[in-house]
Amino acid sequence: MTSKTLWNNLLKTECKHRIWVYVVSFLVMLYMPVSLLMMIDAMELNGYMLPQGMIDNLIMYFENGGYGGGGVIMMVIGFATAFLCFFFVYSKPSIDLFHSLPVRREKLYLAKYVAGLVPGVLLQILVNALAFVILVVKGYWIKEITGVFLFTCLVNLVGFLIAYNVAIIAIMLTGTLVVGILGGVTLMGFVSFVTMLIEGYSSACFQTYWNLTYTKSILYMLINPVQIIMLQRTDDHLALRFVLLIAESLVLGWIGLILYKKRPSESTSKSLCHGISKPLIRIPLVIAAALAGGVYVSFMFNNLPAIWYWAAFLIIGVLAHIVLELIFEQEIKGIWRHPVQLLASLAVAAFISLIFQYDLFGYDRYLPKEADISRASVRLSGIEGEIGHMELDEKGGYGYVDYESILKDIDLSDRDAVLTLAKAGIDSLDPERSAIARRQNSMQYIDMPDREPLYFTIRYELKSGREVYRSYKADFDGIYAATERIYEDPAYRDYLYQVDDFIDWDAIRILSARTWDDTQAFDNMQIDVKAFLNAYAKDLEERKLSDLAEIPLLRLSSYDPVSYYDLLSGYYVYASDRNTMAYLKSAGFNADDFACDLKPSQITSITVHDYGMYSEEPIVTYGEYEMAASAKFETGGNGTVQYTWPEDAEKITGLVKVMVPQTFAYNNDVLHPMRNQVDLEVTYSTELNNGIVSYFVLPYGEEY
Amino acid sequence: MIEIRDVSKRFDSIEAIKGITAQMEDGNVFGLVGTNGAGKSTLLRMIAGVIKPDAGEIAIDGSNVYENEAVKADLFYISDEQYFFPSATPEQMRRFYASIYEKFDNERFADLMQKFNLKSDRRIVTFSKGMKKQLSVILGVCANTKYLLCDETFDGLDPVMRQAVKRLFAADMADRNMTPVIASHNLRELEDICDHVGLLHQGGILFSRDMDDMKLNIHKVQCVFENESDRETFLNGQTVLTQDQRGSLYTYTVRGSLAELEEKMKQVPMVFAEVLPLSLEEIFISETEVVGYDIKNIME
Repeated sequence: MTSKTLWNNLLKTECKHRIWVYVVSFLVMLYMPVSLLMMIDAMELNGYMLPQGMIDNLIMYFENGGYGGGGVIMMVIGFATAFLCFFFVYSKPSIDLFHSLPVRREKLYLAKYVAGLVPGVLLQILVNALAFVILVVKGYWIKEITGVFLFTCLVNLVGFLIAYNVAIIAIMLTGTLVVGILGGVTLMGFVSFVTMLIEGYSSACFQTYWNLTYTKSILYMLINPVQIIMLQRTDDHLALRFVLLIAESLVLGWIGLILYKKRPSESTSKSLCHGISKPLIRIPLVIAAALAGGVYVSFMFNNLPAIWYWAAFLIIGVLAHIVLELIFEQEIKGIWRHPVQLLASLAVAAFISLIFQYDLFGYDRYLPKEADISRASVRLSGIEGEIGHMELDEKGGYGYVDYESILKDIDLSDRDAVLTLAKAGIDSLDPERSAIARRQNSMQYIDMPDREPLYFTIRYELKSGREVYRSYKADFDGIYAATERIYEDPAYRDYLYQVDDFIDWDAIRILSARTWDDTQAFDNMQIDVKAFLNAYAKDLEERKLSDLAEIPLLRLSSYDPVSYYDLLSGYYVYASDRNTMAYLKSAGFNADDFACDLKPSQITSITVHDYGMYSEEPIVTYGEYEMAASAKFETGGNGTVQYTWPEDAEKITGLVKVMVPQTFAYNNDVLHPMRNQVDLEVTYSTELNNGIVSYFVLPYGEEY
Repeated sequence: MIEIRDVSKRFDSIEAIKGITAQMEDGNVFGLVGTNGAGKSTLLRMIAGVIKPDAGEIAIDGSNVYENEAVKADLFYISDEQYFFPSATPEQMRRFYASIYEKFDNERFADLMQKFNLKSDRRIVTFSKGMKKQLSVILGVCANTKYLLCDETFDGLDPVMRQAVKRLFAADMADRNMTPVIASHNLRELEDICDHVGLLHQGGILFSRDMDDMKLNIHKVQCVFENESDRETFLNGQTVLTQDQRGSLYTYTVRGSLAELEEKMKQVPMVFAEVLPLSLEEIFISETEVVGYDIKNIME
C-alpha cells in the first residue's frame, strides 16, 4: 500500500467518523443565514424604514463581528471541532490503536487536521452561499453590501481557523480533556485578560492615563485570538490583516504538528504533557490572578482601605496557585510542592503592582525631548468641546471620527506650546500618590472653589515610531498663552472647525439658529444658507481664544435627512463674529434681538437651587459628604432660596445683571467659569405668556 | 526478529523499564510474564512503537520501530483495552484495518467471525469483554502481520475460547511463521503456548529462557539418603537451584539433563528416589530464587 493511499484511507475513515460533527456544525452555522433572513423580514415589516436605512442596517449587521454573531459562533465551532478531531490523544486505548498503526505521526495529524478543517471551511462557504442567495432573492445584493459581506465571511473564516489551531496547540500540550479545554480558553483569552489588567491598573493608578479605544495593532491582533471578532472594516491594512491571520493559523497548525510529534503517548491522563510547561503556565497565571484579585476588590467599593487590596491580592494569588497545582499534580498533597514558585510569583506580582501604584517608571511624568518628536497634537476638551469631527465616507454619508484619529491627523507646528501644556499638566499632578484602593474618586462631592481646570490630551509620535498619549488637567490661567497658540494654530483650527468642509460637501441645506430661550431666530427659509455659512466660516478662521469668553448669541443646528446627523452641533454664533453679524443684518436680522433681554420687572420669582457642599477640608469620603450635607441643612435649609418680585426687587435686579442662560453657560466655560452647583429657576412673563420658566446659572465669584 | 537492547523508560519518578535486553526469535511464541506494574505493557507498547524508549533501542528485523511505517506494517498490537470506534460494528473495524494493513485477509475475517459466532453487523459496544477480545484477536490475525503483540489478550476469555485462540495462533505460526508476543500476568496461560518466556519484575527482566531448555534441563527430585555422605556424593557436581528438607525426605530442583540425573541417582545408594514433573510455575520459582528473588508470593 502506498503512503498516499494509506493517508487517503485514513482521511476517509476520519471524515466518516466525523459526519455527525459536520451535521451539528452545519445546523449551528445555519443560524447565521436564518438570522439574516429574520432581520430582513423584520426590517421590511417596519414600513417606516427607508431603503437606504435598511441597507445601512444590513451593513452594520455584517460589519460587527461577523453576521448573526458569526465570529463567535465560528470560533466556538473551530474550538470544538479541534477537540473532537484530536480527542484520541486523551485516551490510552485510542492512542494505542493509532500510534501502533503503520502511519507516521505527520500523516495521522494531517488526516485528522484536514478532516476537521476542510469540512469546516466548506460548510462555512455553504452557509455563506445561502446568505448570498437570501440577499439576492430579497433584492439586497448591491455593491454596498458586497464588500461588507465578504469582510464578514472572512472574519468568520479566520475566527474558525485561529480557534481551531489554538485549540489543537492546547490539546497537544495537555493530557486530559478538562485541562485541554481550560488551556485552550487560557490561550485564547490570556492576552485580553492581561490587557484588561493593564488598563485597569493604568486607569486606577496613572493620573495622565489615556485609555486608547483603538488598540488593534496588527501585532496585538496576532497575539490575541479573541480580538479577531473585533475586526472592523475600517481597520488599517485590512487585507494584510486577513493574510497574516490566515498565515498565522497555518503557523499555529504547524506548531501543533511539532507539539504532536514531541507529545509522549504516555501523556494521556496526565495534566500536562511536558513538565517544563507547568511553571511556564503557573507563574504568569498566578501573577495575573493576584493582580486581578486585588484590583477587582479595590473597584468594588470606593475608598476601600489598602489592606483589602493586599488581602485580595494574596488570597486570590495563593488560590490560583492551589487550583493550578491541583489541576497539574492531581492530588491534594501537591498543592504546596512549589512554594518557591508561589513566593516568586507573588513577589513579581507585588512588584508590578507597586510599579503602577507608585509610578516607578515615571509614566505620569513622561515628557519627551522636542528633538525626539516627529508629530505632536493636542485636543483641548474644555474649548469648543461640543464640536465633533465628521468625515465623509465613500457612500456620501457622514460619521464621527474617533478621538485618537483626530489626534493622529493633527500635526501642530508649535511643539513648544505642546510641551508647555504637558509640563503644566505634569506640575498639576497630585503629589500624593496613594495606594490603589485609596484612589481619590470623591471629586463628585466637591463644589469646585475656583474655575474649572483645562482638560487636554496630548499625542506624541516619536521619531522612533512610538505613539504616546497622555491626558492632563491644568490651571487654565497658567497655560492661557500656550493654549492660545494651539487654538490659533492653523492645523488645529482647520481640524476643529469644519464649516468649510460642509460647504464643499454641500452638506447643509436645512439649518436653524436658536436663541438663549430656545426660540428659533431664523432658519434656512429665511436666509441664503451658503452666504451665511461663508460668512460664518470666515469668522471661525479669524476667531480668537478671547472671543470664546463671551456668552454666545445663537446656537446653530442642521438636519441631514439621510444620516440624521446634526453637523452644526456645537457651533455657536458670538457677537464678535462680525462677518456673520453683517450678513444677518443684510438679511434683515438685528443682533440685539438675539441677546437675552430679560428685564427685572418681567420676573415673577427666582428660585436658587444650591447643590454645592462647602467645606474647609476637602471632602474625601461619603461619610464626610453626609456630614457636610447635614451641616448645610442645619445652617441653610435645603439649599433652596426663593426671591419674588417686588419683595426682593433689589436682589432680582442684581441677579439679572450677572446671570447667564444655562443653554449657553457651559460651552467653553473654562473661559467664563460658572458655579456649576447653583441653578437659577427664573419664572417670568412676556407680552404673550405668563409663568414661563427658564434656567440660568451664576458666573464664579457671583453670590445670590 | 525483535531485538531489545538496553531499553529504559521512566514515567516521572517511576522507572518502568530498567535497561532491558532481550531477543524474540521469529516463529516462536514469546511470553512476557510479570506482575501488575512489572513493565509488560510498557515494553509491549514500546515494541509496538506506541511509546518511545528513553534509552536503548528496539529493532524489528534490524530496523528501529519507532515512527517506522515499514516496520510497523509488519506488526499488529492488541492492547489490553482494545479501542473500537464509537458505535462501530466489527465490519466497520474490518474496513478500517483493511484500509491500513495491505495484507488484511477479508475472507478469513468473515470465516473466523462465523466460527467464533460473532455478528459482523452488531455494534461492538454491545459485546461482552470476552467477545471484544475475540474480535481483537480475529482482527489481529487477519491483518496478516508477521508480529502479533498481545497484551493480556487471554484475560477474559473462557477456557474454550482460550484454546481456540491458541489453535489460531498455532495455525498462523505454522502457515506463515507468525511471531506472537504475549504479555500476561498469568503464567499458567502461557505454559502450553510459549516457546520462550521472559520474566519481568519491577521494570527489569529477571531472565529469559526457552521453555524447552527450562523444562528439559530443570528437574525436581525427591529422595531419602541412607547417610549424610551419600547425600554429599549425590550433590557433588550437581547444580542445585532449590532444596527443601522434611525429616529425611529431601527435595531438590537441579539443573542438567535427565539422563545425567538418573545416572547420578543410580550411583548413589538411596532409600527412596523419584524424579517429579515440574510445572512452569515451579521452574520459574526455582529460576528466580537462583537470581536472588523470592517471587512465590507474587505468582498466581
